[in-house]
Amino acid sequence: MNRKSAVAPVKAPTGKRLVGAKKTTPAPVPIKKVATVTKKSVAPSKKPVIQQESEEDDSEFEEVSEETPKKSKLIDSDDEEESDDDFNKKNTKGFSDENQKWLKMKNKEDDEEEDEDEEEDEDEDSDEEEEEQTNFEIQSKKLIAKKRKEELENIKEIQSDFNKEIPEADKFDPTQGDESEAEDSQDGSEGEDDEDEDEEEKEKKDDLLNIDLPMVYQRIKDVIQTLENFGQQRKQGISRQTYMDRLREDICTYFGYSQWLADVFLKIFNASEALEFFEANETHRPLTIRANTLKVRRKDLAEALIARGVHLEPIKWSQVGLTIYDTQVAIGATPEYLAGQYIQQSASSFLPVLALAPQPNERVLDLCASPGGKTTYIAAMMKNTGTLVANDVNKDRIKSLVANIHRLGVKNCMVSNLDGRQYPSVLSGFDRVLVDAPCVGLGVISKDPQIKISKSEQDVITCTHTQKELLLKAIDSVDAASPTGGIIVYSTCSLTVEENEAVVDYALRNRDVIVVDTTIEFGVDGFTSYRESRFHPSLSLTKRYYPHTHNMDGFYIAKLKKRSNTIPKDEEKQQKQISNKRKNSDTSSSDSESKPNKKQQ
Amino acid sequence: MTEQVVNASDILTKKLDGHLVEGEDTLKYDLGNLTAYDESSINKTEYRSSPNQYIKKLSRDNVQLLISRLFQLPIKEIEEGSLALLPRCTTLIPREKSLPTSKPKTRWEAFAEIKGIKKKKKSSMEWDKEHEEYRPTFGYKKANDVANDWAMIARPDDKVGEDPFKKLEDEKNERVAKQKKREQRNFDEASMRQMSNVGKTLSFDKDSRGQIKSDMEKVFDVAKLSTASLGKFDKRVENEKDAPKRGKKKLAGLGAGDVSQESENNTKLIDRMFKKENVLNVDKATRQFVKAEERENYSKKRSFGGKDKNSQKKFKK
Amino acid sequence: MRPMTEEESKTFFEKLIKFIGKNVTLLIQRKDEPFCFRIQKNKVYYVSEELMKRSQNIPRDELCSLGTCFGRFTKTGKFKLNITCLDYLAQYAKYKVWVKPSSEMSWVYGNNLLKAGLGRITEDTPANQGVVLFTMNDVAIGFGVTSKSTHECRKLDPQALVVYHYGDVGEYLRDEDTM
Repeated sequence: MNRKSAVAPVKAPTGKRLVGAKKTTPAPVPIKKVATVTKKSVAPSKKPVIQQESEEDDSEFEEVSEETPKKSKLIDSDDEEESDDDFNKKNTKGFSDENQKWLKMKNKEDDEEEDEDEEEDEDEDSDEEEEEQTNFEIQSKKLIAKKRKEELENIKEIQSDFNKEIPEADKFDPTQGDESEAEDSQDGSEGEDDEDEDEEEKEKKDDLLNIDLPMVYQRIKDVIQTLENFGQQRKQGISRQTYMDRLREDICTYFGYSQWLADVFLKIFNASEALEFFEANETHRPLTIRANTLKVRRKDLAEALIARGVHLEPIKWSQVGLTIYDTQVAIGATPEYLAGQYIQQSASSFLPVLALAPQPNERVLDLCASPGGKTTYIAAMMKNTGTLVANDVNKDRIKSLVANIHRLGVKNCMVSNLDGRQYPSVLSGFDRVLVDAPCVGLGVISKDPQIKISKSEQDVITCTHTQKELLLKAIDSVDAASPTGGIIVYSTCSLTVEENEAVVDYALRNRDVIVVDTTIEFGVDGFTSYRESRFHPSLSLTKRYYPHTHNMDGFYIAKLKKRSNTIPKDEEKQQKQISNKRKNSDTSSSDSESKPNKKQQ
Repeated sequence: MTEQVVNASDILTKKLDGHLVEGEDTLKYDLGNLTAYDESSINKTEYRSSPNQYIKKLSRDNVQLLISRLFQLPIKEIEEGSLALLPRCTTLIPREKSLPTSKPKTRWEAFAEIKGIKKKKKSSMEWDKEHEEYRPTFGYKKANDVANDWAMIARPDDKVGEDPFKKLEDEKNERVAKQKKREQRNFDEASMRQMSNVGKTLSFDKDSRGQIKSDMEKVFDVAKLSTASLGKFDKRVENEKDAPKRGKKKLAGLGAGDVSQESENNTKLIDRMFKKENVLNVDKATRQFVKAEERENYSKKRSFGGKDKNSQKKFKK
Repeated sequence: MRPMTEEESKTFFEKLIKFIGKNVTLLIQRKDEPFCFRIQKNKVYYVSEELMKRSQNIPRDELCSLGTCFGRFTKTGKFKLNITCLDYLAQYAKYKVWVKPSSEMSWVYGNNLLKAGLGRITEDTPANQGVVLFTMNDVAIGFGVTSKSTHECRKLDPQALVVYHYGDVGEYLRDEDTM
């Protein structure tokens, strides 16, 4: 029995439970995906599950409790009064997160009706299948045990999340939601008013069972509308925060973001803009290419490509960009491409180079160069003169960088595989430096939807740290006395304020630089204040680009000009040291000696 | 300023006065090295008034002192003249050549050192009981040599049909061979020769094949150069390659010079290469020649043909 | 990074001369700016003096590329031209072959050129001569070695080999890792 049961809980929750789990709290969403990504072991468990459906009636309860001791505590010893409900509840408790994912995926098709049918059938089949299952059971039991260990922590987290959110959910006005949802919640609660919070939790999950995405979408829109006209449209007694929470959860459900990420964007944008942004992330940006002016003119290239059956249009704000609408040939394998006449490059990555505006015969550094789109653009603007240094930390990405540089016929470039932070000590005195810093990539979600759930706050923190270091080193590499340059351009393809404005603000405080206009006409001005933080007013000269407003990847560009080569921080330190020395010398020797002694004691 | 020429006879007859140095002799002598050290301080006032003169005078006086000391040494008369017998040197002069390196130890020596085994000196001669005289301990006609006995005492472990003399000889040969091997091994190890396989019996299993091949090539390269002219005038086999230059290539100095110098060198190199190359495009030339010939033939034919036609016409007429 | 030894220069120039003949001297002695050849990790780079001097600051192991890569020396000491030098080869090529559009892709995938794909060829190209291949729009797409002279080509049947493949621009995608 135990063996069977071990598997049984996995299967037991049919479509209802799973979907419910998914809906009630956004938290499980990321976990599911993570699990799918990381664990293949989940897959084998499917088979046993199917077989064991039949046995579920008799055996479940004990087994469930064994499987998930933690969760079983929560469960009261309800007997088999309402077999369906109880059974489901218990199972839900028993789930590990992985189970939920595959359950959800698998059972999407299953409707309630099917569940009923299954139950009827189960009795008949059960005897026959018991024997066969033993093997599966052993295997699956092992698997489950393994998973459970690994994800024990995850479960804890989730539970804690649930607990936090429940009260919020309770607060939320049912009238706000759709009728169906309200009904569901009522159904759930009717029977079991007395049960403790955990049970309620389950019910919430049940509610979500019936969710259909169009409704969620409609609700998102409704909430947004209410929020925009809050004074008039709000329901009495419901705070803005409650609405926001509902909105966030719905967005997580509908678009599949992690809660943290949804929160980040809701802070950056107002509600309606955020929705546009989320929707824009679901569609791809148009494919753009850049004509390599070292080898060909844009006009000639366009003609050659049109002859190959490519529908394209020049980008208005660029001298060299072309947007590809439709193509009959692989755009990355035409003879023109191979001969280096153009390169595939997102429109947003034109911008930092335009802002950098390198001149012929200058010395330019590209700190994070791979895969070379920007580097080759810089070389083209320098007309293959002067010195261009391209650097990248990642050895694998260097390969594509070198290949692109050679393919596009760049001859004034050398490539180094160093950590960007080594730079001023290796080579310095540049006229211009481009820092396209490594980032969390929140601007390119349409390219890589994985970002929706894979990134966390910790990633931002680590990225921010390296970004600050890189920018300072880049500033140090520039020669302020350069007659033509002394320019640093900082760009990321991320949208968080921490990675962008905060980093530039940090540089402003630690080096003698000023923000200058990017010379790009369009774009949204950077933040000078964001929630509790206040930045230097000149940060409004920096530019932000969003997928929904500019139809290009999310991007941030700041152009800095170096005013002098002195490092203010060092000066301060020196001054402090000097002043300290003076103090020491002033005070009598006995005093200075006695102080450290005290400290030691 | 003409130099004063002093004749030897003048010196002999002339009485040299004032050449001896008066006053205290403060020099320190190392007559073995024909050296004297003047440790007294310089008279500054005199030195400043006329440095050159002062130094000259001081030097002369000191040399005079040294030489007069030399003449006080015991003298040995020989046919050619007299020799002063120099005392032992007192100043240590640094050694000109580097110290000799110690010989690399053989395996036994290294082992004995670890174990603390010391060599016992055996006397080179030993008392031979039979001949009742001293004979060498080792080698030819050594003392108490069993092998030279005309008869041997039988032992219980002797095998029937075995020649005890032959057995003795075999054992000795074995020992000698073994020692030879050891010596070779010690030699190889000591000299760290790369060609350690040379002179050894080779095993032709898979593992050592690469080693054997490279050794062979090395030996071959060496052999090619092992003539009086370093192989310069030897006849070459067809397609024979130059022996590769052994040793570390010197790349350190490369690139230190100017780029313009470098490109000049390259240009010269290319010019040399083009001189060798045949500038004539043989294909093109032959083709042109053939074409020209054809054209000529054609025109000839045509002219002949015309004549023929004319002649025919004439004939018809 | 270091200059080539005389031996290396000799092998290198011999190969280069096959394709651009005496124009090699134009590469060595340029009027605009002094350029030089440098070896870094077995690869030969053609680089301006200024860039070369700057690159000396970067640690040898971390310097991945500079200027234009012309090719590399194999372990056996032979020199192999890399497609990356196509720009210069095309500029100075003595003998050229133009490829018909129908055969462009076949060449770019690394196949030899057949008579059927031969659009045009420089007059009097000898056999076994290094040639640079162009599309009919004059876009350089690789280089190879002729198997027949221009004269002989006229009589060949369409399936006969005309140019042996040596390097093509498709290598930018295929051999990206070894660039």
